[in-house]
Amino acid sequence: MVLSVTIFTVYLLNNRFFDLPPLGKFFDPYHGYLALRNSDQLPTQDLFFESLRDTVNVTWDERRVPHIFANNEHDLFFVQGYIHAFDRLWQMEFQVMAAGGRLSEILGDRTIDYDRFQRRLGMMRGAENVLEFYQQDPTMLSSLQAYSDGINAYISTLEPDQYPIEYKLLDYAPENWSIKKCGLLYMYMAWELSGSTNDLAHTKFLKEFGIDQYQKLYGFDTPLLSPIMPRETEWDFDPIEVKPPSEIYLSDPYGDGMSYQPNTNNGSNNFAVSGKLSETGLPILSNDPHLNLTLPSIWYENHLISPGINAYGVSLLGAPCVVIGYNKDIAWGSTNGMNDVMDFYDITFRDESMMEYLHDDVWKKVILSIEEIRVRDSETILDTTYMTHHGPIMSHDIFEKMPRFGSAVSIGRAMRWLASEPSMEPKTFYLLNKAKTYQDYLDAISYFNCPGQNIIFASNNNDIAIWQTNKLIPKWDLQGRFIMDGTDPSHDWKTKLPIEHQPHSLNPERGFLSSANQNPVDGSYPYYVPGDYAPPFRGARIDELLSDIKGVSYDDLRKIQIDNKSLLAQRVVPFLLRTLDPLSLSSDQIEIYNHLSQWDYFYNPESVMPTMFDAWIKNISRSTWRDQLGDADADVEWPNYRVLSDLIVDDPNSKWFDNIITNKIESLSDISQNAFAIESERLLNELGPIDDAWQWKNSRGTDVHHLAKIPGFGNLHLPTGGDWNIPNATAKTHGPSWRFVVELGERPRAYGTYPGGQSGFPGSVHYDQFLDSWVKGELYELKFPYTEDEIEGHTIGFNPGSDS
Amino acid sequence: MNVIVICCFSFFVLPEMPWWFISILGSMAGLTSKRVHTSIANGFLCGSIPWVFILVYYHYTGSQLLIHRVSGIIGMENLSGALLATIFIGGVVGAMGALCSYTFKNAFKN
Repeated sequence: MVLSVTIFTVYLLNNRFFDLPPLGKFFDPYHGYLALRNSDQLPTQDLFFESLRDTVNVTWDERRVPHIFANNEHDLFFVQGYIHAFDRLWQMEFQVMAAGGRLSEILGDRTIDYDRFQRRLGMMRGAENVLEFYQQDPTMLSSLQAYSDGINAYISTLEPDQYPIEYKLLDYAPENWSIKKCGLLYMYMAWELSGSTNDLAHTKFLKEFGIDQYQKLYGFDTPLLSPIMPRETEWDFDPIEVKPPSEIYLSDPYGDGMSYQPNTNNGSNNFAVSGKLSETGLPILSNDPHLNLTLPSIWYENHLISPGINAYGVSLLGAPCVVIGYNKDIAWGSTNGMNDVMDFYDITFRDESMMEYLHDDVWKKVILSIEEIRVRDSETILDTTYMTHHGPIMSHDIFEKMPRFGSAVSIGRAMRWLASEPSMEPKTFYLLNKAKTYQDYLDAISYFNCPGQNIIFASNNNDIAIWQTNKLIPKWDLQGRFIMDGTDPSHDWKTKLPIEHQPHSLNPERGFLSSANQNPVDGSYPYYVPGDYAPPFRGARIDELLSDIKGVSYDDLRKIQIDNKSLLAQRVVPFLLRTLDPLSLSSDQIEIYNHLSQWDYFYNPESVMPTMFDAWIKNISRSTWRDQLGDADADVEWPNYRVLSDLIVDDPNSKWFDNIITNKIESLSDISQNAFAIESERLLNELGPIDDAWQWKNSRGTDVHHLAKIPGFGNLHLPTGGDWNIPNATAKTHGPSWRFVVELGERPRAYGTYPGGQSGFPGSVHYDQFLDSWVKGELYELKFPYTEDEIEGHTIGFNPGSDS
Repeated sequence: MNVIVICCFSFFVLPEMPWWFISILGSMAGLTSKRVHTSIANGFLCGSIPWVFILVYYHYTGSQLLIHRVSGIIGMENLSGALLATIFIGGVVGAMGALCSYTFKNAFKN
């Protein structure tokens, strides 16, 4: 009996149960997590690999940034793959396992529905299509293969004791890398940046309130907009005519429904000033792409040098080249285009078998795509996706709600998503790494399909430019904003526009360019470009700052990156204060009122009024929309703060301010007073009188969780400022994932940081090394040697020879 | 005394053996114990001391960051979480090994 209990206990502690790791194995100080105690230490001796063609020298500088000096591209990407795996193996594999719908292999049957969802989205199909596509391009194929070989060379050196700590916690082993996984990584990024829809929510609104109200509350254009392409841009092409259907199709938006609503509160910025405005006489470029913040960080900083390439910047873990950075001649950066590249179609099936559907008066065959999902400690399951020419039917059986980290997509309809079409985004980065001129940049971005990005450019030839790079589908007005009729060919996507028709700007008269996820164009652009754009406040503030400076240095652009002024607050607070009667307020509320009256509208870490304004405006938004639109949820999207601010400023008696549940007819004044009373009382109760606890860094702050949200592996309560709608759009768990500024010149000078560190090992000082500088808004000067002699650090040779 | 000898022995064998070998160490303590609760206590010590010694040694020789992160997994700070988990797991498995061997020994004796 005792023996049985002992054996059973050992068995329990040797295996993973529920969320618990195999505790015995994990806490064993000889073979468990402590076996990794020095695993972040860089190699101390030269390494040898049969795959290498020549010697590659790598010097890690004091920030652990590798400078890889190779004599050919094959070796360069091989060593880049090896080093990425050395520092971030678990992250790079976990990301693609999740993207490809293979989590059940690690976590068991509780993630089967998640995996089915990913499979039906077409992540795996997309990666396979990309793989096929690459067969036509031997250069890219060999680069990706060399990179994959480098990762596998590292994996082959690992004994089980040396597997990164997350493998030990989840009790599984790394598998070999492949080019298909590089493709999956790009599908993952496409999903992160463009996998969203509000078609169902908009259809529901349309049905209840009609097209006029829809245009008012969800239209893009506004006088507040400072579009990415300056208003004076002339469109030098003959637009292709797009014929709309005779009437708007109205789907039945009720019943089971899901929507993965886009986060219009994105925060990426990029901007470039031309030589005529800069201190150096050559352009300066800045970029801070905003993403969910995690440890390890999504980015890895590296410097790649081989004949034809000398590129520095950040890479994604799982793909070669530098994604955002600079080389000797040019610099480039990216923000999310926020384009609507995902549409849904009602499908009319012939019968319950769902094997035929109607399109253009013809019954077309459904194609079945059957995928195998392996499940840990259980039987493998097969999942069937029904494919139409529009795209997959996302759900015909299993899903009621399928949150994708808090989000979901419309069900029972066919999904058309630009990312599922094969394309070669990695080639864009490969060519940008080598680019020298504006023409090279144009060649590079012509390969970029999805997600739509605003890729900004600056060069030593004194060119600055920006292009919105997604392959633009010509659409009639409002096409794709609502669920469409899958039987009517006029609702189909048409051939993509020629690249020269895409929104772009080169060397504008004003001397600078910027993007902040806002609408890229004004009404003069001849095509309808739907998107879930950020409200215009952030872009307008950046342009306001850029318009005001001359003799620009890198530090000026760095300061814009961390500028904390809210144009939203500046616009509405004076109007909201007028709705309050100070005589009716308590003494504590009068203190808040006085603070608000004197507020400079900055969301600095020590500012106290962002705490009140944030609560107040959220309450007003809720009171304005909830009674008539319902809770902001799967199938309801409240209009954004720009629309609300228009109502506050221009239409305080709008019908939207009336609470239809009461008999009284409310105005802005009523709901503003009520919201102020409720939120000030709540904050006074929770935080006490206005003091340190009210400071924005304490009441909001930023949490950087571990990628798998493992407790203890994140860094929480960081004392940050900023917010959505502000250039420094740092939020609770989202923010600038890489901040950098480049001054072009004979030798570029660049500065950067990101919220994390180079090592993915939580026991390393390099795990979160850059967080302090990131919180303070400081940038490191980046080392940019042209030759090995110009850099000091820890140097190791990677040599051809028998594998070490 | 037996506990000290077994712990010293453990430092030579544990690096080469799987984690559950601490139950064997515990069983060695059980074989040399005269009473059931002594066997459990000795087994607990023989399972936990070798692990805790290494844990504390690593903590003070450069691995504190890692150990603190692991403590954070169970919602504790600094060394405490990792220490408690190590003592508990090592101790319980060692004690069960000791109880097994003590029971066997007595069964054969009778």
